[in-house]
Amino acid sequence: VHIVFFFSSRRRHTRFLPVSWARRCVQETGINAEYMGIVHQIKQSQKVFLEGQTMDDDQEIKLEERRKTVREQAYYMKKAIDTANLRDALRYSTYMLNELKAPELSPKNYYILYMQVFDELRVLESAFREEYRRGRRMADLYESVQYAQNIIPRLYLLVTAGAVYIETNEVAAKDILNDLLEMIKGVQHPLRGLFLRYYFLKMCKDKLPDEGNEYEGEGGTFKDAVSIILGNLEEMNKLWIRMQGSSSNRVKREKERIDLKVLVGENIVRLSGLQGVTLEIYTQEVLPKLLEIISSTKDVISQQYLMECIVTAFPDEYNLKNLNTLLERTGSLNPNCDIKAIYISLMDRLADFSEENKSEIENITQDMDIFQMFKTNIDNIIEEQGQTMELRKLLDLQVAFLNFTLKTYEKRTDYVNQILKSCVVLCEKQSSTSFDEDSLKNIVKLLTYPLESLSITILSMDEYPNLMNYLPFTKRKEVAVKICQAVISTRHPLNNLTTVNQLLSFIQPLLKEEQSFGNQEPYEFEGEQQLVARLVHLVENNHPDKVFEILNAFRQPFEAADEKRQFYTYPSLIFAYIRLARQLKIYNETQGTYKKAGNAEEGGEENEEESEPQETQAYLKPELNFKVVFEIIRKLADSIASGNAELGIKLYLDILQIISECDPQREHDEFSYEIAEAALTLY
Amino acid sequence: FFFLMIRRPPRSTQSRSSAASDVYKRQGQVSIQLGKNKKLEHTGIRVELIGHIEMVYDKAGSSDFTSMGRELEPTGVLFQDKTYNFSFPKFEKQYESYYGSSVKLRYFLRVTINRNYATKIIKEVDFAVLVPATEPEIKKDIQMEVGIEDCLHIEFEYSKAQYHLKDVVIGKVKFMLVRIKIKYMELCIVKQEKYLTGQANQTQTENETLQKFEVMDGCPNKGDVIPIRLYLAGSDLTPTYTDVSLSLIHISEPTRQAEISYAVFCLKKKN
Repeated sequence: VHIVFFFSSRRRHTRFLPVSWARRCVQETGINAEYMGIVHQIKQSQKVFLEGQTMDDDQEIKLEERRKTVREQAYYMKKAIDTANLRDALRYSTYMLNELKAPELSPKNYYILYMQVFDELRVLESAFREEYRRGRRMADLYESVQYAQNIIPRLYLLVTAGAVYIETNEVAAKDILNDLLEMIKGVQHPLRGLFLRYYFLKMCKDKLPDEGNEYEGEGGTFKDAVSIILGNLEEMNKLWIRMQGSSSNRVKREKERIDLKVLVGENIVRLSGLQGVTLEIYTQEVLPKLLEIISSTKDVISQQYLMECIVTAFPDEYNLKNLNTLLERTGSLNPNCDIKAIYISLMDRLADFSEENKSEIENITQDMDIFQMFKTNIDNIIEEQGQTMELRKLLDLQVAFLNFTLKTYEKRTDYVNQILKSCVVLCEKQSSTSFDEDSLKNIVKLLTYPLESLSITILSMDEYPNLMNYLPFTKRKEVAVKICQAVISTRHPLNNLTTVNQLLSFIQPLLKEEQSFGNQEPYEFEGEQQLVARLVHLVENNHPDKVFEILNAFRQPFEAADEKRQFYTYPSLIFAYIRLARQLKIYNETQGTYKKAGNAEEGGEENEEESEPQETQAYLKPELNFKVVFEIIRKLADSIASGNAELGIKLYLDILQIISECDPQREHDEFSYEIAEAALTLY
Repeated sequence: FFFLMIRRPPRSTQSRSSAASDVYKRQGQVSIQLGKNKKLEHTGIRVELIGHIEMVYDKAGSSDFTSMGRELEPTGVLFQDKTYNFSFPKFEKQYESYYGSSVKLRYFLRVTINRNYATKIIKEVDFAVLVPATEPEIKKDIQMEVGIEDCLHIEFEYSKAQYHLKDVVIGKVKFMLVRIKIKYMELCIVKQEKYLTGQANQTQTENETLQKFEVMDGCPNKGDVIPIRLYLAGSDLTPTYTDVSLSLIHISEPTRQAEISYAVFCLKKKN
């Protein structure tokens, strides 16, 4: 005999009661105790079954039910329309619209239902038009749709009828629109109200009086349109914030609200689409009112989103001219807002604008010190929120600022330097010594972005190396690579010793390895060293002395480096010296030399006269003569040759060639002999 | 087996007196048709015009308030079908016909055939009496502030106190204090019948909700003003003579109901 106990889950105590009851049964009747286990099992499985039906399944079912009803009623409605039975059409449309009451649907599902109803209402809308064409008075229709007893169908029908009524031009557009705006106040439920007002917006899209459209004049002016949309926005904002409700389920509510943000933003989009909203109107009327609406509540989600909408919806020019107001107001939003996101969005947009409108931005920047505006406000943000905001986020802000500055102020290295300085300050404040990956990535960006447009002029920024110091070795190497690439791609001639020294200090990571560095891919290493080698080829100067100085400057770190680096760097250096020798020869032939007391220049005509005026030192330093150069080359080649015979031979041969070129007097014969000997030995 | 028919002449022949007075002439024809029987013995045939107030729940309290009679035929025998003309001039319409749920005010014509050895034969035919009313002079609006202590406090106004049947109720409701969760707000048109019960000598009131009209969905904030626009043409209403009151019902969670009502006169528009 199996005894099975069923009980409802409604009664809270049933979990215990039947078991104890079962136990008693067992005791009194003597039934085998193992049956008790069945009791418990049933209870558990029942419980699991009930909990297994999640909210989502429930929603799906309900949604489908409602959609089905909408389909059915729409079908009857269309049949009534086909037989020109307006009364029945309205009746069925009312049944259909009643489904939009749907108190149980989540916002996402409600949206699906709404879209379906929206499509069906289009049929009704054209039926209204058809009725008007047949001679029905729109005023009567407008009245009769208001007989509906339930408010949701009534108002949806009213908006639909109102839209067609506006088209007839019998009554001023603004009057109808204002009436609609007033009547839709009746829906105070957040979700339903939002969708109804969204429907209102959609239906009025082409019917707002605006500059140059058919509804202007009698129908109103664009200012009426502006005030209507702003009124709708204000109410929608209130409803949207009301959705937050009590503190229960906060996260879920926030997510739902974010899902619906587009509904509210539509108002701002509509505003920006009005022809009548010129820069002046925007500055004097629209923007102040929008900012008022935003700051009328403390709601984070609303403030954040609406501000972002303003930045993205309106032309960049408008926002640029109102930059100070925007920045200040953004800074004064609820501190929980992601202010920097708004700033970044703004700066990115303005950066793109600058890129595309070079001449305009020049004019604008002459009138307004945009850089300073941004800088002041950003510094304020950092000051106020620096304690709590993570470094990487602050650096995100700086990166966006840098990007904007580079695009807007193309040549201003001082601005860039200022930004780098703020970053250095930020990094200093950072207490821990190791930065997180994102912060490091940001620092790399900060150091590499300027290279594109400013290239070698970064060397003049004194904050640059300071910031670079905060990077670990690998990242610094990354930056160094970018620097080399920038210099090489612009083919900037390296003709200044100080510049070169600076450059060399910047690319230190490429020249010398740090202890903690691990293994590197060979091809990567090769690439890096080749970059360094190519740098050498950029060295040029009219005056051989200078070239000699610079090449020596290169030679120092090269000599100090290890062999595998020298494999790449020495050859290019050697050829650079070879070139120098040629330059020397030509120089001797054309310019002549001014001999200082002491070592004479080999060969060539001597020019006793004073050479050119002081701007180029016409004399060569005593150290610079062929012999010296050849010695250097030879030493370099020797180092290579010891490691790499093949390359060594080639180099020796190159040396011999240049010697023969430069030395018709054959004064370096002995020297050449040695080189040849070395070459042959190798061979 | 007797077939009695009262025919009224078509409308056009009804005479109308001047607009000021409500005196009409009621006239028509009574025709008596004998069925299978070829003769009818009677002690008199009479036609009466009666105005009658009927208490549905209290039959004893019913009474006639007006009665006029005509003798059509003295005692005699009828051998064939006969038609009689009748007319009641100078019929004063005091009240309008009303068919309510607890009270009925009817006008009817009653033909009675009295007989000695059998029950009398009676036929009644109702007719309607309408009394168009003039628009009252005073046009004031209604404004009221009501509420539930510490929970809900509203101020509502209607533009008029009296409406005609094709009129629009226009007004607004302002929420001064909202501390409860309101689900929705409706405007109800309530028909109220008040009558005196003869025995207990007190007035009894019966309410019937004719129409519900949803005016707000959801819960408003403090300071929100909700517009009201209710077209009376969309509902079937009986005019005048009964007080038709509008009541504002708030339905709040959990389904508690608070009702604030205010009497409003309803008139039929004069043709």
